[in-house]
Amino acid sequence: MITLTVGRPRLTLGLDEHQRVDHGTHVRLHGELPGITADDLVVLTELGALRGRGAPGSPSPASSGP
Amino acid sequence: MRSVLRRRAPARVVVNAAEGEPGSAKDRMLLERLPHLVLDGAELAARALGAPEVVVGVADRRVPGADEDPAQESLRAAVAERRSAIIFRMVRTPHRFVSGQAGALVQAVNGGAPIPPGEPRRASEYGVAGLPTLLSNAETYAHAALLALGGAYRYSSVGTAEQPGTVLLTVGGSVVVEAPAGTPLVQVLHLCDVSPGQAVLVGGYHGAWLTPDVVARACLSRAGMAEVGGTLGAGVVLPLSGSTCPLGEVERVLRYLAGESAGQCGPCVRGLPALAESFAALVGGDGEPETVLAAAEAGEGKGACAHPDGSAVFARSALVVFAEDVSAHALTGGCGRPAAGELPLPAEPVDSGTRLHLDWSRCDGHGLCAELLPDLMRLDRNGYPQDRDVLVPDTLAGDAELAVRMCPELALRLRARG
Repeated sequence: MITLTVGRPRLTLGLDEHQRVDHGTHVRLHGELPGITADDLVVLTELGALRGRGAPGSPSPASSGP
Repeated sequence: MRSVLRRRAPARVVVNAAEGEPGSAKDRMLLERLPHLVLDGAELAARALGAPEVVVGVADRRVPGADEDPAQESLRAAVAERRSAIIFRMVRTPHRFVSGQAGALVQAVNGGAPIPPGEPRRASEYGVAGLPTLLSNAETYAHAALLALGGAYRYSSVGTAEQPGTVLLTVGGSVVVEAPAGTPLVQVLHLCDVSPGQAVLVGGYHGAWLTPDVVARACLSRAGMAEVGGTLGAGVVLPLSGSTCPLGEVERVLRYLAGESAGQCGPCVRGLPALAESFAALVGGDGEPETVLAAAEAGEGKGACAHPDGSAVFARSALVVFAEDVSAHALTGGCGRPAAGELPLPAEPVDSGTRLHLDWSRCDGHGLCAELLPDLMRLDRNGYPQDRDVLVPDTLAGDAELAVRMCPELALRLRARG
């Protein structure tokens, strides 16, 4: 599967050297997963303006993006 | 997210990687190549919400007799590599257009049919096992992981103020591109070495067509797409080259969308084939755009899910952007270009194209068929079926067979495509 990147890779970091990023490589590239509280999670998702990225076309009424 | 917390009950976390759009490959790419970003995001959410389990919904693309699906294999390996305290459970749903909808996935995880529920419910309030459920797309979890791992400052150093970070796109059905939100669409097309051709479809088969001059000023963010009348949706970008008949291409997709109806809402079961037929008439040069508009309107707002509405958006946009082609077909009966099949559709025919055929001379108006197939068979004022020939969606094939067997006058027959 061909994956290309505009600018510096973020999500796709490591794909230039690895067909699949296994757990060891993932931790080397991104670090260990921090423990966060529910409040932190709310703040983080709002900071990132994270909304659904799956719905075709218009958002479906049943979808519940964070 | 806030509404999941509001209920103060044990929560559930669901990753939607079911990706029903034929033109989208980004979620499959994430599972196959970057599974730990997705699982990190889900684990982060599960820990924060105190959820013991994460469910990952994947589309079942396995062909009988073939090897294991690489996405499922990668996911299974990733769970083993992590040795996490969180339980990861994989749920396979059939690879169908409507199965990718959030409500359909929740219903599948709960052991029901993988179709959107008749009464839409917010998964955040009543989701898996009736518990508040955080359900998001695989890409969203990957972004959440990136935010938590690298911090918001680094995350938002690219993208726009409204939409920080990057977006994942699928160009031409197979190439996945990561680009900062707000990147000009032409830059991404250039990177993939394709031209806008006649028009570019954005947002997938519920999305909109953009003419080349609109493409030239379109930017890849939610706001940027809305500005030019498009939608980012699942990040599907499909350019159409100059050598194929655009109307024929749209007709193929409309037929596919009609076959993808879950078969539970009448306006969709009957309306989408009618929409495809009205468009087919345009391709043949003897149809009217008004008929297409009327057919598009018929199902809008009348389904359990957005399928009829999205299909209407797609058809209407094609009428506007390919208006000159519609005129050319009306004048000369065609444009001389065959529909090359550039818009990706699943390899296997999704709908077998079976038709239910009625023999008027036998029918005595018992009305059993309308009881068994309420969405398909309608009776006229005298109690006889309205149509003598209707397309049977695969989901209703069993009921149609039953109707054939139960008809006291043996007036019904099933006919294969062709």
